[in-house]
Amino acid sequence: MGETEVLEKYKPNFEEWINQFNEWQSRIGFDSAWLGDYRFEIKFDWDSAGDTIEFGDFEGMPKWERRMQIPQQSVRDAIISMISVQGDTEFGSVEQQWHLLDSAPTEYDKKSAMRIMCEEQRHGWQMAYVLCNYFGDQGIREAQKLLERNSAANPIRGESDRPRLLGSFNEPIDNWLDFFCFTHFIDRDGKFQLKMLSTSSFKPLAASMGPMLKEESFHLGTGANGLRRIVKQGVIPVALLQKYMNKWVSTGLDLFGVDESTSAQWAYVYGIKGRYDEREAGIPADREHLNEESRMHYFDELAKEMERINKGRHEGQPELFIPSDNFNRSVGKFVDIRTDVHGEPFEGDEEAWTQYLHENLPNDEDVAELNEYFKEEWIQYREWKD
Amino acid sequence: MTSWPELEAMPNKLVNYGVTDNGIAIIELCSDSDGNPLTEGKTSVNTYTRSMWEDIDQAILNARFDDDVTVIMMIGHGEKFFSAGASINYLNTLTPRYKYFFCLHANETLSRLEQTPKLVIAALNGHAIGGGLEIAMAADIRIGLKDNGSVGLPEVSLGVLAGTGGTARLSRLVGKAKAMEIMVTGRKFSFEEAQEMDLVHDVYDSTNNEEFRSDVMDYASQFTLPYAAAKAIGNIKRSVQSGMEIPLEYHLALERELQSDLFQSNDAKTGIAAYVEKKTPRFEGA
Ligand SMILES: [Fe+2]
Ligand SMILES: [Fe+2]
Repeated sequence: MGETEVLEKYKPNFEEWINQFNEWQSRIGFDSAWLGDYRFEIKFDWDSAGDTIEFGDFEGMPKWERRMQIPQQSVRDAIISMISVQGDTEFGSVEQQWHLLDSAPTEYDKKSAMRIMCEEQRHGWQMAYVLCNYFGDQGIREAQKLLERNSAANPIRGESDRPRLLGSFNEPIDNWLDFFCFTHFIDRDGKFQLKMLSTSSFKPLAASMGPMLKEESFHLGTGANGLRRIVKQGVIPVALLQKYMNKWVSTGLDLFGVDESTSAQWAYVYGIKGRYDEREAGIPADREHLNEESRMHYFDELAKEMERINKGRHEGQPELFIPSDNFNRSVGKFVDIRTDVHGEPFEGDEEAWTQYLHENLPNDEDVAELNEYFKEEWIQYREWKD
Repeated sequence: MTSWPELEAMPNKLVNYGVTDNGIAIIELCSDSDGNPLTEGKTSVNTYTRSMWEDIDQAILNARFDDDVTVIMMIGHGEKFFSAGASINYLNTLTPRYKYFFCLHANETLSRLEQTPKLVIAALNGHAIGGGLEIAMAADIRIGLKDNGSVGLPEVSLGVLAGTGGTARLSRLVGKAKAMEIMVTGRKFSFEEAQEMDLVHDVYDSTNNEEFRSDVMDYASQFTLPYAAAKAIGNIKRSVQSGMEIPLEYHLALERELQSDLFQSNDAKTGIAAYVEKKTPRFEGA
């Protein structure tokens, strides 16, 4: 990890974007007073970004530092789209989460959520900055679009609002259990994406990732920690918690994209997005199964994390588990294949399947039950230390 | 990150010429306000005389015949001017008949540029006024350096018109109405305004002339071998430049011929195969 450069001055086109950002905040319901003394900063870690393209067809050439150095338009377009999707998720998550602030179980959780939302917005700034500063008019347009979409999960939506680009960022985060699941599972996915971009052939993108990854680790830490504290408290039954695991794990797995993805392959060929362990892998990439491979890394990490979460459980309580990666998938080869949470083929008709999903994913009665638990001391208390 | 090549003076010492490693031919206009070779203490205004056109002409031919060259970049020497057009003092010494041949030669030279099936980029490092803009308009792509110059065709103030393709090319580029207004007023305007009317393709906010030179060089590099299909780019240019001037039916016929030429090229095979195999193509320009 090298030294972080914090930019002091912006060009007018980014200043203009900031004005639009301020409008976005009030439009989507985020009160800028919540920021306290938090200041958005543009940060680069140039040392960890690397000087030479690390993989793909341009391996060995100097990394591109400006748009004009990128050798082909298709490569440029792919980079822009990669940055836009990343930025889209950052703002999307704030739109999904802000409404939870009022119902935080403790001051500690409220402040953590606040910090996460500040940092997600900073990540959005960072991506918008890279677009505005490096990609001319096309970049400026894309940076504006980041502020024009609005998560379908945001309680405040205008008639003409288009949803966020990826499914998970349009899923409602209804309550604090959802919040901890989201930060644990979805922000962890975010960490994977950022790590994969940290070796990018486009240097400003790679250099953005170091500081973002540092911040992101707090987000997933908050999720893991929250889930541990819930299990320790033992108020919400494990069976109910399990349903939430089932819901969010499948969503998290879907986020890695389709199997045998050609766009992942192109991104690799262009050197834009590497493997999760690109610098350590030591073997050539299986270019046709890039998404599958990162998904497996993620899945393994979830299993390890779950062991730690289970350690705090009360005597006699069953263990929480990570459902099979075949269960309840909306993306990939298991879309049309029905399996139970253990990955065994589901035998039974349509009705039985609906019933099975009803029993294994959160349903309306579960939500009602959960709301009752929320009236109790449902999560272990924790003090906020500045 | 292509570096700027050593430039050498053409015979009349009014144009510097050089070719980069990746095949970009640089044609740098270089003269003082009288159109003479630059000497110590004089600013480069890059005005032209018959001698400069001879140099430009020769440089275009060099670039045209050089198989390694796929892109031609025209730029002005110095910080302030791309070119200020014809040297007025020089024009003042000429007979009308000489002036006529002078214009004819300039026109023929710009035609050469326009008809060469290699991409021509005008890097507007400074003002492109009168004949300067006329040269730039014969290029395929124009890029300006932000806040460092203006464009315009002010010939009307001298009681003449923009006669080196100015009235013809400006009206084709920006449309009749806009072209009229620009030329009858003779007003000068910013690169930004020029960009709004698509007269300039992009305006770079490079911090100085040197950085601008490296930025346009990087931009031009994307059209060079092996990453770009230079032959296809050449044929696209041929179809647009010549095709726009003939009836649609003939244009379509010309387009088919140019396409059939490409279908038979190795580059088309390379491009299509690379796409299928999910590799980035490496073209050879044939
Ligand atoms: Fe983030
Ligand atoms: Fe995050």
